Amino acid sequence: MAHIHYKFSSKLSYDTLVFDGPHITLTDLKRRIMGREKLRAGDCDLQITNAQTKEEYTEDEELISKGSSVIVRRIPINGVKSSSSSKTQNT
Amino acid sequence: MASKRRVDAMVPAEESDQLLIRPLGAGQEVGRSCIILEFKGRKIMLDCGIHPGLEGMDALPYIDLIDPAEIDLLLISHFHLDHCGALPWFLQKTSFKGRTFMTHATKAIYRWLLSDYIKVSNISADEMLYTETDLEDSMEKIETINFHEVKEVAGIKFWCYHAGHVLGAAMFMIEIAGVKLLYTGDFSRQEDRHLMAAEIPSVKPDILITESTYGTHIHEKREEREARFCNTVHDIVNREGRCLIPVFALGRAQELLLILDEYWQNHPELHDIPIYYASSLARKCMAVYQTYINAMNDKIRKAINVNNPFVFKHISNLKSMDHFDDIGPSVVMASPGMMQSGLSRELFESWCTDKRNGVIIAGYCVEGTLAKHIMTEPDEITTMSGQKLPLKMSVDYISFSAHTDYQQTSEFIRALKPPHVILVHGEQNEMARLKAALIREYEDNDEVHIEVHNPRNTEAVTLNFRGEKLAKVMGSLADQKCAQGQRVSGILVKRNFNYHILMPSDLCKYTDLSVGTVTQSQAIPFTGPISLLVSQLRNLAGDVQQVEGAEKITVKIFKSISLVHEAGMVQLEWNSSPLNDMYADVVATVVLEVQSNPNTQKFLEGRRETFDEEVFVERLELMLHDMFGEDCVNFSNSDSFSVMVDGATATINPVTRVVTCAEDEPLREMIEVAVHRLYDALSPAF
Repeated sequence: MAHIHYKFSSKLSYDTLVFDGPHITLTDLKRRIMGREKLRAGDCDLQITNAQTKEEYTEDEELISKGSSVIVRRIPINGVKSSSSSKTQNT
Repeated sequence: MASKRRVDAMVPAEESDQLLIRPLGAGQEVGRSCIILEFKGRKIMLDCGIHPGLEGMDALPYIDLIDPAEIDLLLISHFHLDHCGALPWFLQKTSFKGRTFMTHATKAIYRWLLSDYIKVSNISADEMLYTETDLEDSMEKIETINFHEVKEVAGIKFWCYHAGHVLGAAMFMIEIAGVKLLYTGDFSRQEDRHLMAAEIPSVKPDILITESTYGTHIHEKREEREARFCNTVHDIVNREGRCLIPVFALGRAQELLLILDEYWQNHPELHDIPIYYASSLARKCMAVYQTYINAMNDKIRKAINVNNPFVFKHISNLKSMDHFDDIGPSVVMASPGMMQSGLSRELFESWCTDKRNGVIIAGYCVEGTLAKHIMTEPDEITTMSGQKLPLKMSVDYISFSAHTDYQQTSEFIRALKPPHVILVHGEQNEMARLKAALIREYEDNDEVHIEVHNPRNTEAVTLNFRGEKLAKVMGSLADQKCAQGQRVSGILVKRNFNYHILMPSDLCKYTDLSVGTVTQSQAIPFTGPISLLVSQLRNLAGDVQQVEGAEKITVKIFKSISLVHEAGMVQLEWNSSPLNDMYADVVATVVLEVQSNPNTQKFLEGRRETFDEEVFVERLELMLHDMFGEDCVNFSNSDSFSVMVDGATATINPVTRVVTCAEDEPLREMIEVAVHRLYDALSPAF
């Protein structure tokens, strides 16, 4: 059982994500965090940076090893109309 | 990828001319208003709302792009959810430690409006951004401000004007280092039944941040709107239908209640048809409205003296569905305004299939909400439980949302003529149209230049303000009239953004600062001859004075450095000042030089003082008198002196200082040593 600790930049404390294997891809990590935090807006993306080195992970297939601590930032996807939302039919 | 702030490494933020405005929400959208203003190292957040069409963390502005701990000041314009809905979360769950301000009415209503919102939220507890406890705890962190009251926080001056729109809504004017910025929040230049119109500030701002909800639209006339509203309600109840008006418990609801009450009063045939104002907090909310009468317009304030217009004759409170007997036509005002959940949603779902019923959307609806959706007249809608129902009830849109329209905005800008206008709080297309229209208005105008910006979320607008730095000369410096080109020098005292120039002696009079003296002393090991040192210093400074009456040899150099000869060292002492410190440095260097290099004597032989012959002869005579008695010494002949002792005669040549004595060798030696010793003692040190 491997862990990754993540913290939203504006929040005060870390949460933990559990997964199998020695590492996780950036896309996978983003998907898991968005699922955990119930982020469903279509125009929202996450910027993930390493908490110690402050380096940003940019490649989708980049591997983040277990035990890492990351800082997460919600950012808008550029070019998408921020008024659009996939939830027009239900609450 | 949204970029983070880049700090200009060359100029510290406090002195930089760069002013930054960055919307973290309400940038080319309506909802989650949150605008960051940075200038001169100060960071201000304007509003902190949530997006009514989104849920959970999605509804928040993009706060991750700033550090909450760095925000000095947070100003909330009014109590609508899209302006303060994220405030409990921001105050309780982030590292924010600045000060928060809003008007009194806003704070009172914030408490109950958000409480209502928490109750009607239809999402699971773990998705909720904050709880009722968080809301309660946030209250003590919020400070209040009166309209037109000037406050100052961290060098930021701010005050607010009436904005109309809803009770307690304010437009904030912020001044930093002489640059003024006006944030309108949501405003309306039209007076209604209980609110005054937005004021036009007497002070002109350099930057205007304004809402653009209705873009280039022009509202219908108020009387027409009210008539249309009343007629639609009348029609619905006439055809035995139920009329649903979804509104938030507080806000525009009060205006509609005033309209309906008056209409019912004038139409006795309607007196059997109940009007309900449905909210679990109805009574508390109305109490707040009845309290803050002084934030309303003159008409209402006069009416209060006769009878309280908010005590309605034809409207009853409804706490929940359980208290509601749905038998026959009625008018129900229920929250929330966009029918995402809660009572208005429940009623809508139970009435939408009957074509006699009708719903009147009376406010602005944000994208993603059911209210916005039904305005497109769909055939069916999806209930909260996922069921599909046909939509048969009539849908009317009559907006009382009290936002400015194109005419009002244009007039407002014309009155203020701000060089920069930043548009926020508007759908992307509306906003673009408004921007184009405003630019067109002023493009042929040579005197007035207005730049219009419409940044997206997280996109920053950077403006440069080269302020003139003004320093006031006070105190004794100001005694004489100044002429152009004259040099003024003194101490520059800066307090926030005010500069004064003072003489040091005036400091304690005009500031809390006082002047003190620093005395420095330095001991330097020195084992050489003090006379050597003193002559070296005399060479250097010229101005070396022996201090009389001191126990140890003391000299004063440059009139400010005193040097005392102690055993094995010299002690320097002086009053610290840039000049004196420099002198002290120089003296110390000389001391160290002499200490480490006693052969300087030889080096400077060329500059030796002239040896005083006469003095030497005088002293020699005196010395020989002392040694051998006056009788034995003969100084009559200036070419050679003689000393006679016990029959032996020794001759001394004054020029060569050679002593000859044929008879007595020891005598000769003794006299020679004495002569040479005297000579050494009297000759200059180098």
